[in-house]
Amino acid sequence: MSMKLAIVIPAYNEEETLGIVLNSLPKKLKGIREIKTIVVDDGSKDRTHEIARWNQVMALKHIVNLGVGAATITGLEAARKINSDIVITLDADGQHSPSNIEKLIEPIIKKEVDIVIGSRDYKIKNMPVVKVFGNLMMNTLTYMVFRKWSADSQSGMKAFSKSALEKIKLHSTGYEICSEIIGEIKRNNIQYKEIKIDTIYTDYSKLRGQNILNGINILTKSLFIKIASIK
Amino acid sequence: MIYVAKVFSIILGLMVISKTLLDFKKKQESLIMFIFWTVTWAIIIYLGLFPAEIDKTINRLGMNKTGTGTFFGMSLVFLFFVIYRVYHKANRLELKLKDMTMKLGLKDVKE
Repeated sequence: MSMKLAIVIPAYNEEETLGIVLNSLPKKLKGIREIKTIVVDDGSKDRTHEIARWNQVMALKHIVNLGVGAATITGLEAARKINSDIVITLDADGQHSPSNIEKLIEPIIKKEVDIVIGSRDYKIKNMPVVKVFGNLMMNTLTYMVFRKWSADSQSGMKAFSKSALEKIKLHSTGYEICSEIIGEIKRNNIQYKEIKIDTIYTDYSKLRGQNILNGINILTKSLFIKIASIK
Repeated sequence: MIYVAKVFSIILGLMVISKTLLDFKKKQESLIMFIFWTVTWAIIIYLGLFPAEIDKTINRLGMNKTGTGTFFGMSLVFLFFVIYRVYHKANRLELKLKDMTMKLGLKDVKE
């Protein structure tokens, strides 16, 4: 059975790279009858929203900057509204290679699992040392809070089946959404898989994403999420 | 230690007063609020510089049997109550803002 895929891209001040990312997205994929791209501009001050509109994708806009988590939730909700069978999220800074989309959605098309996490390679030749250290620390902290291990808990490239999206309940506004998703996989006992993806670190993307201070913020908020979810 | 407390209260007080002055100049704060914060922090700087004034004030108010420790303990409880109220209100506003922004973002998406 052929499926409908939604590609969700949360974006904040990404005018430099968004156009390149959108142009590199696949037009056709095996087992997919329709691809819909959804860009959620999270209150950018630059031309991010205009670039999304020029590229004739579904361009949604937050009137104020809420954070990557809120933009992702808006994108996932839009994907649910347009009745997507599979949803994949990726970053707008060009860190994720769209050529990896096919291998991430394949296990969902084959109904092997409901969530696929695109796991980046933590080799120092591929990733700056500070990011390797930060990501390993976040994996450990995510495990300590949610008791679920992921080889790349902070990856922004993830694929979801329709049924997984119906089960998970997300509330995070910031980067802690990545850890919250791991928590939701555990809470709902969702079948998932991690697949290695290419890591593209340009000078631009090195400046984006999380830093050590964000890590402390993520930990604090993840703890709040965990406490709030205890019944 | 008393000198550290004095320097600390002066730095903090001047920071708050300069911030409220800047906000008032940018018309982001009303004249009433500007006067309120300036007077409040001027008093805090004064008490930081002359802590003995607190004892004299307590005596003048006839609360000398209560003691400075009790007075500061009560102040601390009150301050934590104010912090809780501010946190609660800010959290509620943030949730409302988040819901509103996300609803507006999704308003043109047809089911």
